[in-house]
Amino acid sequence: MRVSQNELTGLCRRAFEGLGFPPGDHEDAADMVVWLEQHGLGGVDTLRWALTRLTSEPRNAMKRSFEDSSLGVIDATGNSILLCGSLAADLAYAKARRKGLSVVKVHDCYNRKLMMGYLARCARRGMNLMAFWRNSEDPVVVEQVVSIRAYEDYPTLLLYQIEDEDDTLTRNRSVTLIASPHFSMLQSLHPDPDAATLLQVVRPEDFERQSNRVWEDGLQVEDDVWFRLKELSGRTLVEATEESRNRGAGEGAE
Amino acid sequence: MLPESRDFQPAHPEPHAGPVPLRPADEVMQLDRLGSLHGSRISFIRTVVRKMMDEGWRVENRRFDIDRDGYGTAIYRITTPEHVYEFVLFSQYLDPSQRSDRVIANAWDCAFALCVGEVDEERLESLRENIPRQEAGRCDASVIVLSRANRSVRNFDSMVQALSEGRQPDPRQIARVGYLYRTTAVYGNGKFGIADYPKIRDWEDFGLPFSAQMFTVYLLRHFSIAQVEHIAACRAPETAVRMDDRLKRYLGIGNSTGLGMAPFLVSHPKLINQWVLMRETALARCLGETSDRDRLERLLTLIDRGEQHTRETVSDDSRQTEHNETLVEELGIARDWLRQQAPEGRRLWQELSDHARAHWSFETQELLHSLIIELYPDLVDELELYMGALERYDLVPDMTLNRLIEEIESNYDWALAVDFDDPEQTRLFWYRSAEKEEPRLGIRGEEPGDDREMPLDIARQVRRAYDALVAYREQFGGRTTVVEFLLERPGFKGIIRRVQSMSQTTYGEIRKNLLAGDMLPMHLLRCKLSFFGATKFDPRSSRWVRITLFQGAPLVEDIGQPFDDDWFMPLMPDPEEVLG
Repeated sequence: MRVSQNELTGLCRRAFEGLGFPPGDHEDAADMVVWLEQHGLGGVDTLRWALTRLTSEPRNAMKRSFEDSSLGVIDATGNSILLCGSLAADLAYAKARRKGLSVVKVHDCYNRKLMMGYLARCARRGMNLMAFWRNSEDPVVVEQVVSIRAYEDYPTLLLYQIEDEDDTLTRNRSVTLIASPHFSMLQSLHPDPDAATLLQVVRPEDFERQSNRVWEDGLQVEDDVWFRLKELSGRTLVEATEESRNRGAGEGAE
Repeated sequence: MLPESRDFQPAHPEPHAGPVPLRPADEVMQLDRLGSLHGSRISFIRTVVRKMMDEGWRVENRRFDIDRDGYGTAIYRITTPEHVYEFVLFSQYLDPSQRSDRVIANAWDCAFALCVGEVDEERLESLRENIPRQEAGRCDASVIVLSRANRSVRNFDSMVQALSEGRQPDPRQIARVGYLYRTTAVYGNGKFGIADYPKIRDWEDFGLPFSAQMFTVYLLRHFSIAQVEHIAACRAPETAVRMDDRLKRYLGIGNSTGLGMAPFLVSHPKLINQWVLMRETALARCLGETSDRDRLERLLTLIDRGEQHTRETVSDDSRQTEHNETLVEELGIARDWLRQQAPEGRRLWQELSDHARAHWSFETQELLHSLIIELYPDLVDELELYMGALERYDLVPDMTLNRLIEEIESNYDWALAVDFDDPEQTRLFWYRSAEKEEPRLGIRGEEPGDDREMPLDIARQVRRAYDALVAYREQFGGRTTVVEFLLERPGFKGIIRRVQSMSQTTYGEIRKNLLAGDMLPMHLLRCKLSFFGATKFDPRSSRWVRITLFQGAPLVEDIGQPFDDDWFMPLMPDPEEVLG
C-alpha cells in the first residue's frame, strides 16, 4: 500500500512504544527505520525481519565493556541497533566533542545498517562520522562503510566484497563508529583489489534524489508489515467503553 | 576541549522585536492566558486571504454536478502564480441519526480534498471511492488536504427556505450560528496517504503552516453558499433569489473540535514556540511605537467593533458567556480610559497594555493586544513568513549534568513547583482510544487505561528526570555527561532531549501540569484555534468547542477588487437593511 512518510513514522513510533521501547527510543527507532526506507535502502524490510526477534526474544540491558576518554566499547547483548544505536552514536559524539576524536565499538547487535539515519542526525550537529561493519552473506563477506561530513544532510555508503579468512568481525556482529568535529575520513573507491571488491556506491546526491522522490510520491509498504505494525501500535490503545465514548472526548457534547 | 555543543544551525527565526522587551514566558505561557487568546493579523486565515487577494488567485467552477437536493460532485479549479489545484467535493445524503461531529463518526454530509494539478476522470473516480470514506480510505500524494463537514441543519434548511421564497435569510440567525457547514477534521501532512508537508513546505502558495488546510476550508465556504442558492433555485425557479453579498460575507465555516487537538500542542513545542514568538514579536513591535491621534481613533473604532462583535457572540456555555459579558464591560471601560488620554509623544499602547494587565481579565487583555496589532500592518504582516519551524529535537550528549540540572531549574521551575505527591496533581490521564485512536481524558483510579497513558505529562517527566539526575550527580559528579547518564538510564532520553531543545526557545512549553484535576482542556483547544484565526468560541463542554472561521472574509467574487484587510471581528449586517 502507498503511505506517506509521516504516516509511516507515526505508526512505527507507536509500534515501538507498543513493544515497550522507552520514551525517546521509540522515536529514534522509528526515525531510523523511516530514514532508511525513505532513502531506498529497505528500512521496512529490515524492520520486518527485526520484528520477529523484537517480539520474541528477551531484551537485555546494554553494558559498557570498556571506556576511556576517547574510546568506548558497548556490549549490546544481542539487541537490535534500534535499541542501542542512538546512544552509541551520541557517546561517540560526546567523546569527540571533548577530545577531538573518538572511536566507539558496539558488539553483538543486529540491524546495523539502520544506524545510518541517526548518524545523519549527529552530522547535522557539526560532527564528521564514519561507521563500519561486516555482514556475512554466504559465501561472501560484505563490508559496509558509511561516512558523513559535518553539517551535511546525506552520507556516502560503500559496499565491498571482502576476502578475509579471519571472520571475527563478522561473527561478533559489531559496528565501529569514528567521530571527529575536526576532520572527516574519506572512503577509498579503489581498495586493494586482492582483498576487496567495490560492490556498490551510494553518493549523497543519490540519497537526496531518492528522498525527494518520496516527498513527491510517498512510500510503498507491503500490507503484511503495515498491519503487523498496526497490531503492535494497538497495544498502546485503550479499549473504548460507553462511558469513555461519552465522557472521555467531549463529555456528552453531541 | 570544545564548548558544549548547541544548535549549530538554528532553524527558528527570531526577527527583531523593537525597543520593548518580549513578555516573559512565565506570563504568556500560563494555560488560562493561552485559553484567552484571540486571532490576529498573523493568524493563518488572515494570512491566506491576504495572499489570495494580493496575488489575485483565480477560483473557477469547473464542475457543479449537484442535484436539486444538493447532492453530487463539485470541482473548483484554483490558479495561483505558482500552481494549479483542484478542490473536489462530494456531497451526499446523510441520515440524521449518523450526523456526528466526533472523530468516531463514519459518514458526513460532504467530504472534500484539495488536489495538486488537474483531476481527470480516472483520478476523480479514485477520489470518489476514497474521499467520502475519510480515515477508512486511501489517498495519494497528489492530495494535499483531506476534510469533511456536516451541515448546520437548522441554518441550511431555513436559508434554502428563505431564498426559495424570495426572501433574504435573517442576519440574526447567522449571528447566532455563523455557518452552513462545520468541518470536523481537516487533515494535512501525510494523513491517510496524502502528501507530506515537506512536499509543499517550499511552495509559495502553501508553505506556511496550515495555509493549505485553511484555504480548503475557505473553498468549502464558497461551495456552501453556491449550494444553498442552487437548491433554492431548483426548488422554486420562479421565486428564488440569490443571497445578499453582505450575508454571504457574514457566513463563515464552523469547526467542531474536541480533545484531538490538545496533544498537538504538546508534541510540537518548537512550532508552538514559533507561533507565540511571532505573536509576541508583533505585539512588542506595536507596543514600542509612539502613539498618535489617527491610530487612537482607529483603535477606538476597533474596540467598538470588538464590543459589538462580542455582544453578537452567543454561547450556551455559562463560563464563556460570563467571560464575554466581562469582555464587553471592560472594553467599554478601556474605551473611556483611552478617551481621557492624549496620545502624542508617548507609548500609549504600552500604557494601555500595562493598565489592562493590572485591572482587566485575560480575555480583555488579549483582545486589546490583537486590536493594537491591527494598527500597524507594515510592522506586523511580514511576521507571517516566520510562523514555520524546523521541528528537530536533538540530544546534546556532551552536556554536563551540572548544566542540565541548571537548565531544568531555570527553565522548568514551573514543573518542579508541582507537588506530585498530591493525588489531585495526577488526577487526570490522557489516553488514545481504540476507537479511531481518538485522544481522550480519563480519571485515574476510576477509569481503565492509565497504564497506557499518552506522554503529555511534561511536568511530571521533568520532575522524575530531575530527581534521577540529582541522585546520579551525587554519586558520579557534576562533570558526568548526559550520554553517560542515559547509558545507565535510557528511559529519560525523551524528556532530556526535550528539555535541552526547548531551553533554547523563549516559549513553547505550556506552563501547566496537564494531569492536574483543575486543568481545563478547553484552554488548549482555544490556544491553537486562535492561531488559526477562529472567532465565536462556543464551548460545548470543557473538552469540546465550536468556532467559526472566515466569517467576514472577502468572497471569491471579491478577488481582484480593492481589499483593505479589515475583516477581523465582523459585525452582523443591519437586519433592516438586508431584509428591507
